[in-house]
Amino acid sequence: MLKLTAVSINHRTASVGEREKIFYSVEEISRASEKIKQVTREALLLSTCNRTELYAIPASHGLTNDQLFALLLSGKNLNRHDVDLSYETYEGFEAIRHLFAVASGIDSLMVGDIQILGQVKEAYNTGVELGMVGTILHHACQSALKAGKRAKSETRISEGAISVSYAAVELAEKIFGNLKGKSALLIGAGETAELAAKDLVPKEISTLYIANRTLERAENLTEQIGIGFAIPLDSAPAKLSKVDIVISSVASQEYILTRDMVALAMKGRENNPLLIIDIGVPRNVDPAVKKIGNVFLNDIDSLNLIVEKNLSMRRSEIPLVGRVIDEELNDFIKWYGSLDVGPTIKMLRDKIEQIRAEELRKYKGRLKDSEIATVDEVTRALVNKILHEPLTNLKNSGNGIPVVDRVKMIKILFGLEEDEKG
Amino acid sequence: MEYFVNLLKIALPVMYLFTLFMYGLAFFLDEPFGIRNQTRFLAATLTIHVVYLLSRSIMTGHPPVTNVFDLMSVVALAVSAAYLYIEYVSRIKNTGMFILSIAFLFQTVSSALVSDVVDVKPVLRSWLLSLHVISAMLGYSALAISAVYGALYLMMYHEIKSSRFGLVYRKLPNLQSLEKLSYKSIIFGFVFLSLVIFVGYVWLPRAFEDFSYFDPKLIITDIVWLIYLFTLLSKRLMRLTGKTVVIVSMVGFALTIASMIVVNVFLPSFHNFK
Repeated sequence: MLKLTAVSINHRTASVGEREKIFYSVEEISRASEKIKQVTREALLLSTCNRTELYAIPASHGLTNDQLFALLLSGKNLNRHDVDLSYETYEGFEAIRHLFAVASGIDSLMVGDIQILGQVKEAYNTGVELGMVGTILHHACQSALKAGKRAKSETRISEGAISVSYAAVELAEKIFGNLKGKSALLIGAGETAELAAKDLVPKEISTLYIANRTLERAENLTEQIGIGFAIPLDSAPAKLSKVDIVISSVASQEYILTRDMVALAMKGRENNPLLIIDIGVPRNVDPAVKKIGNVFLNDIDSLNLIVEKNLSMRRSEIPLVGRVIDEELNDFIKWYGSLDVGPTIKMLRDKIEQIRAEELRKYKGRLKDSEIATVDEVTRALVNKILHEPLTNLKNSGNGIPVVDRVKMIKILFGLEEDEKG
Repeated sequence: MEYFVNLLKIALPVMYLFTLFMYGLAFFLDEPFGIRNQTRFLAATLTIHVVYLLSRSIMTGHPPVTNVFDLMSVVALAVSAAYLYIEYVSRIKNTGMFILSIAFLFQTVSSALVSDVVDVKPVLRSWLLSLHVISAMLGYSALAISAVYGALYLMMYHEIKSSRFGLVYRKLPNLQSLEKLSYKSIIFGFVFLSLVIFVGYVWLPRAFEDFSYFDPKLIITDIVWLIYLFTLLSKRLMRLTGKTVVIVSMVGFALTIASMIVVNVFLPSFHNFK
């Protein structure tokens, strides 16, 4: 049985505030690593904004899940009374399955979140650098990364926008294809505009105007995102003929964009498509604008609908990802089984016996039968004597080297891994 | 030989149906088997189709351009070959089901109705006829493809306009790509249509004694040519975009089909295979 335990504090067991308290930066993992290494043989600490998890193979039998949880808290100088959260635990291969589920995004708050794969990789690299990750967690992490990549390429678990601001970008791409070289106008410089700008800028849009009542706020946002022109709010309609995408999110009792304004702008832009997304409450854009040809007016409900449909599509992919995880887990279990002393001893004996038999065969024509029988007996005794001590030490757990490492060493020295693959 | 050609004649509609099924599996159900194999099925079907037309040409002793049902098979081949090329260049696979439906329909009718022994008039044994007819088939295939992309453009346009965001939104390529595919197909179709008319005016007066410049079929073809010329020019000169160009192109195609039917069925013309 695999002696691995995972203690997980995640979006199911703790609020965002509590998760923040237990979040570990790389420096903090580094500081905590010595303490963790004292009580574990192998460990991996994964910490993101949605989860902090410790995977550990205890150095001794006595280490309880509560102690592992306390270990996590102590690394952040917290004790049980400072936090209001619970934790999940996974044992043995279930812990491996959980790691695979995390890496493939199906355990994420936003199903199919693609960032998590990079975060698992980072946690693994940190663990290796700090000497926390050993043979088993090394293999587990590699398999988890493989499962994550397979889930992404073989299923649609991370397809489609699942944030409102990215749904706006996706909508724009459904109209214009590539957004490179397109221009955008953000009306309002609040949080929504900021998020939209951050999603639009990586798409290499050529021009970005940010219109706001307080010009200073618009200027701050252009500075913050590195591109764009701040303009007064009343100049926004004049820019309509020059932009392809408009995202409006200001508080206003009157329409910022009327049907006449947009109709006039469409003449100026030679009737090329215009996407207007109205996120303002109450609405910033006259709904009659929708009737103008080649103008695509959508509101917050449209974006929410896109997000909702994408999320439900991703959820429907979970069973497919589950299949990928099962396959990778089976491979892992098989690999782990091969680390067992028994099969390794058998493989080693078989290999040596094969060499002995082959050598003996070469002399079959040259020696008498009685001589062959003697050589057979002598070589058999020789092999048994030579193998006796290495095999005893391989079985012996008292030499301070973990059994998986002993088995791995034997496999490398005698080329048994290649034989297994072959 | 005849047995082999007949076998392929029956196999082809079935293969087109399987290919359509694969594209349908991928489009509607995201079925991995369909996604992986749709293009392979199409390539295999196309190969069989080429073998069929070649062996049929050998069997009958002339290219398959001398009767309507052989020509329908040529159209099916042209449409699916053009689609394969579009898929390869644009990397867009989700429109296959719509375009290949035309190929399936044409090949099925062709396989069902084409006769094995065709009596070919001496006048139809000219290489100019082959050039004229093949250009016509390529031209009309391209215009049919343009019309399908036009229809898909309109579907996508209304999906976004009405904020439905269903299967059409998720699966079809973006509006700009659909418009581009429709427009490029018009250019392709227009070039071949021009060639058809040019070769026609050179060859027809020599080949047919009762040739007339006022033959209904010729007039209709000229009108269709003018409609597409107008579509192309209007995009350039009047700066028509998106929906308007697509609608003009679709109206052009509908008019083409309607007038061809009217002329062929109701009006007398020297321009036929009989």
